[in-house]
Amino acid sequence: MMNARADVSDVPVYVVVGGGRAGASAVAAMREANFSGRILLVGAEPYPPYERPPLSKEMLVKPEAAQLTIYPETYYADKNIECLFGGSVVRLDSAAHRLTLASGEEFTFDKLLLATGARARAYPLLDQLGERVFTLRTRDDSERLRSALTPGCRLLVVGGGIIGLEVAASAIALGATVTVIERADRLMARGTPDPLVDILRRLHVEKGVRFELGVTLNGASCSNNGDVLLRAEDGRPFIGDLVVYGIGVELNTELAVSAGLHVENGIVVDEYGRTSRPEIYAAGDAVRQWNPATRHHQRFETWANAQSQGAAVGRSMVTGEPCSMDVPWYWTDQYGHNFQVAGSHEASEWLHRNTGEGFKSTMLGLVDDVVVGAVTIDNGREMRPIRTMIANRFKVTDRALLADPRVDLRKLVECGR
Amino acid sequence: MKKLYVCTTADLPPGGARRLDTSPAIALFNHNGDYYALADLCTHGSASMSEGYIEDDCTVECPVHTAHFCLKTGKALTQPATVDLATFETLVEGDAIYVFVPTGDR
Ligand SMILES: Cc1cc2nc3c(=O)[nH]c(=O)nc-3n(C[C@H](O)[C@H](O)[C@H](O)COP(=O)(O)OP(=O)(O)OC[C@H]3O[C@@H](n4cnc5c(N)ncnc54)[C@H](O)[C@@H]3O)c2cc1C
Ligand code: FES
Repeated sequence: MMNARADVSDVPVYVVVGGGRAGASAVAAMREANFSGRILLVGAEPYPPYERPPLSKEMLVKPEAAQLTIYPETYYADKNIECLFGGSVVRLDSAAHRLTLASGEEFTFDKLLLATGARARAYPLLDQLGERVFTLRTRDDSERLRSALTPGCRLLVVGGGIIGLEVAASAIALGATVTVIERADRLMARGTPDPLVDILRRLHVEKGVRFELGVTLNGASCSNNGDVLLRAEDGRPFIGDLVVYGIGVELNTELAVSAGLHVENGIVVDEYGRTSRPEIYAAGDAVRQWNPATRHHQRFETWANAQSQGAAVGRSMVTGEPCSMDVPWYWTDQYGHNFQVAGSHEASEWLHRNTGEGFKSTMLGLVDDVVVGAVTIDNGREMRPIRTMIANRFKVTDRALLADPRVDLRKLVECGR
Repeated sequence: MKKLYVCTTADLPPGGARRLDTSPAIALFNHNGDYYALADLCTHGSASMSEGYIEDDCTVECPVHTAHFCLKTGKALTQPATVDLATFETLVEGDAIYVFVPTGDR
C-alpha cells in the first residue's frame, strides 16, 4: 500500500507486524501516548485491520449489518501511520533489528511489536474434501462460507467449540440443518463454565442442532452424487453437503521462534510486553504474558485481550510503563442472545441469579466463598460490577442476598459485602 | 420537537436508566442528579443502552460488548463502537423529567 523505507531516517522507528485487533490497538495507543517517531504497520492480509467476531455471526447471517472495520481507512494517514497491507514478514533478524518481507524488501526498526495472532488449526483428514470444507479465521474465509451456506443445506460442523457453535447458530438462522461432531464428551472443552455449556447445549438442541459427542473421525470423502461422507472410528457415517471445522488455533509464532525469542505455548512476555529481547515486544492471541496479580503467564484468545493488551503494550513501548491486566472476559452471541464470561471458569460452586425474564440471568462462580468467575446471559449490565468483584476477590457473606436478582450488585460492591 | 413527559425524579434514581418507546427509541439516564438522553440503540449492534452501566465519569457502557459512550455528547469513546449516539435534550420542571423528541413521533 505504501512504500516505507524505515532505514533512511534518524527518527525512531517502531514497526508492528500483524494488522489484527492487537496490532491496530497498539499503533493507535502509540500515537495516543504522543510517540512522534515513525510507525509502520505490516499485515499479511490485504485489508486494513478488521474485527473477527462478526465473521461467524453477522457476516454470515446479515452481512449488511456487520461492522468489520476497526478504524476508518483515513485514520492511519491522519495519524501518520505508514501501512503495508498484503505484506508478509518472512524473516526477523533480532540482532540486526531487521525484517524481511516476502517481496524481499527490508526494514530496520528501533522497537518491534509482534502481533501475529493465530490461524485456524488444520485438520488434514478434512482438508482433502477440497471446496466442500471450510475453516473460519479471516474475512475471506467468512465470505467463502457465506456464499456456500444456503437454506436447506446439510452442514456438518466438526468441533464443538465456540466458533463451531456460533457457525451452527448462524447456519440454523439461514435455514440449514446442522450436525455438530465433537471428539470430547462435552462441548467447549476448554475455558467455559459448566453451567454455560449446559445452557448452550439445550439452546442449540431446541433450535434443531444435532450433537454427536465423543466421536473420533477417521474417514472423509466426497461421493459421486455430491454428498460429503465423514466416518467415525466406530463406523458410523455422517452425510452432509458442507463441512466447517473449528478445532482450535495454531499460533503464528514462527518468526519469534526463528529469531530465537523465548516461545512456549505462545511468545513469552513480561509485564511490559517485552519478549526475551527487550526491544522486541509482543501482544495478542500469540502471546503468553506475565500477570503480576496472579503470578502466572497467561494466554488468551479473546477480543478483549487483543484489544487491551495491544493498547497497553503499544503504550508501554512509548512510556515504559507496565501493562495492567484486566480480569479475563469474553462474549459470544448466539441466536440473538449475548453470553459473557469473566474470570476463572473453575469454580466449585455456581450461584444463580435468575431474573425470571426470559434468558436474562447471571451466575457467579465461587471458590471458598470468593467470587472468582461469572457468566451473564442477556444481562451484561451486571458484568461491570462483577468484574470489580472478581478483581477484588469479593468474599460472599450472604448467599441469599447475592442470589436475589433485585439486589443491585453495584451497591454490594460499593459497600464491600 | 415535542416535549415528552417521562417520569418523576423519584422514579429515576442516580445510576438509573429508562427506555422510551419513541422512534427512534431513547435512553434516559440519571448520572448523579443530571439527566441525559441518548439514542437507545447502540451504534455497534442491537444492544439497548438503557440496559447499560453508568460509570462515575459520566459515560455509559454498552451491556453487550462494553463500548463506552459519553452521556453528555453521545461520543463513542471506546471500541468496538466507532459511531456516536444521537443526543436529545432533557428538562426538569419541579419533579417532572421531560425529553425533547423529534416531531412526528409520539
Ligand atoms: C470467527 C471468529 C469469531 C470470534 N468471535 C469472538 C467473540 O465473539 N468474542 C471474543 O472475545 N473473541 C472472538 N474471537 C477471537 C478474537 O477475534 C481474537 O482473539 C483476536 O482477533 C486476536 O487478535 P490478534 O490481533 O492477536 O490476532 P489476529 O486477529 O489473528 O491478527 C493477526 C494478524 O497478523 C497477521 N500476520 C501473522 N503473521 C504475519 C507475518 N509474518 N507478517 C505479516 N502479518 C502477519 C495475520 O495475517 C493476521 O491478520 C473470534 C475469532 C474468530 C476467528
Ligand atoms: S452492541 Fe454495543 S458495543 Fe457491541
